[in-house]
Amino acid sequence: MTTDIPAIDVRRHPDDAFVADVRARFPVEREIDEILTRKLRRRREGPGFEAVSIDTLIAGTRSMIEARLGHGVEIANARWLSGGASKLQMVFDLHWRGADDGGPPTTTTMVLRMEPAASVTESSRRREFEVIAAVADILPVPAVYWVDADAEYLPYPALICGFASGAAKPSHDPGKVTGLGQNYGPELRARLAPQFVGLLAKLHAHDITGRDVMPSFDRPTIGSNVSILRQVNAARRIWEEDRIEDEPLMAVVYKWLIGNAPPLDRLSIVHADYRSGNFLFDEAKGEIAAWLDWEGAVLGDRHQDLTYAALPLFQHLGEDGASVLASGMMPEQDLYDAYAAAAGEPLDPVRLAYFGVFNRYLVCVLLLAAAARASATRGTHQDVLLNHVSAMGYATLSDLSAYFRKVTA
Amino acid sequence: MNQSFETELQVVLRALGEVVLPALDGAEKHVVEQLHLSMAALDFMRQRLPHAGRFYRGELTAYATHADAVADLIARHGGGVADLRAQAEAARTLLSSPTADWSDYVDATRRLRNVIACVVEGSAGAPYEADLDALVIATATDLHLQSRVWCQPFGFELKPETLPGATWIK
Repeated sequence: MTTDIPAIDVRRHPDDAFVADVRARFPVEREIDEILTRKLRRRREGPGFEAVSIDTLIAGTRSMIEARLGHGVEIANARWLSGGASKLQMVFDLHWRGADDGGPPTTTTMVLRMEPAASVTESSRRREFEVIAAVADILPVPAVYWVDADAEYLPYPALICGFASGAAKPSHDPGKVTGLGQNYGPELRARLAPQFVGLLAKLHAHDITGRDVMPSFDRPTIGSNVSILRQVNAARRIWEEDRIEDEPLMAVVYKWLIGNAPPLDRLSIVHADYRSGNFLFDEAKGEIAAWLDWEGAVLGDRHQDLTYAALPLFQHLGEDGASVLASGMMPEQDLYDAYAAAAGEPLDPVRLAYFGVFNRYLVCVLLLAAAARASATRGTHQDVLLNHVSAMGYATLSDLSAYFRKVTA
Repeated sequence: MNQSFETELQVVLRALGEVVLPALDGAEKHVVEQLHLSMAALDFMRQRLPHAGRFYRGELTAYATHADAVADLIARHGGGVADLRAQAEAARTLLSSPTADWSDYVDATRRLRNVIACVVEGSAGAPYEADLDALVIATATDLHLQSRVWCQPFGFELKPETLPGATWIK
């Protein structure tokens, strides 16, 4: 057991031995292993993130589309698209004649989503592309067109999807960072909440058994907890790779997560970031227009999404000053009851407790390790934002401690 | 010396808030957001810089005490505690040094956090594992609350009135 902190921060300059060690100690899915390993090599070999001009993105985007289609296209009206804490986004109009170049001239508004050098959620554009395609028939999501998973054409891996119109924040409360603690207000909330629950139940019920979709996702085995363990180890690996300082409580909780991982009882597509702020809505109609941010999706247990949506990080107080609204929708127990009614089956309290701990552990990892490291290493176009949200990590750590004590009492 | 940290940050914050921000009316949303966040970071520094030495000294003292408690627990079961004792002793030496800077406290605290976490991770299956986990969880509560108090200027707390007082403000 080594407890010495080397003079040079090995996490800032990860050598081959460090990379090999974390890969061996924390087995994860194949694609996750690739992107986490790529992150470490990028951090070591550089360059760090440098501002990318919109002209560079236009040129790379055109090259990618033309290579995919085999004929020329025109890109117009390109501009930056704000929103989110992790991806660099450009919206543009594509003038084309469809995929086979044989249709009438048409204009399609699209979005380029490109990752920066580092991120609060290091993720795979390939997986993001695959999961959106897999749910396109059942949920409102942006259409996905092309992916540059290995950065052949653009400075960093990217995908191109359709532009989804709608608001991420209500007009009366536009100031929340990335939708955290978003208050939709009573009228809009009453219309959005049933959709929030219903779409989640629909997602989880979507059966992909035997279908040739999402090839970059390792398929879990029903009755085994290996897929859950891989997720725990992915979080633990990020903690090992990115943390600025260690935290004894995280070591206690990791042992428990490994020792108590439940076997998978049913396979679901799990969004893994299902919460307020991650969907667009039509404010006048009160309708959810598009679910976004699929980059962390996994194949796993439905209880994971439910307990994530109920995390204190995404709550706010109701108008009565007493009730606490999960994801700005409804009290936590009401959310679980509504989901069970929509899904037509009861929830498992043991799994709810387990994933309640897991999600709190994960959020601590993302805030105290990934966000803090990405901003400290000048890894993104929004270092000041990631530095800001990393300060939330102590409240989440406190919440993890309290929740863990309750679950293990 | 007229140039105090507090005055430097105060004048920058006024310039950004009263001159630059109004001039950005109509600018792209992410530009305005980054300015707000930059001002929040500077204001955090303005509020916390005067207390940094006492805060980090208090944090180091707490972790040295925690390391002692962990070492005592493991020693009762006959386990090895040399690393823990050495880091705790180094912390006490630093705390008694009149030339120590708060960045020295930060480094020493990180060493203590690291050694305690490594001991916890290595305790799987040991006869003292459950007692050690319980000790870490019990101790974590107060340590994390003080970290939250330290970060309070960022405005994330749902019920800030429920937080304890700052132990570093005398």
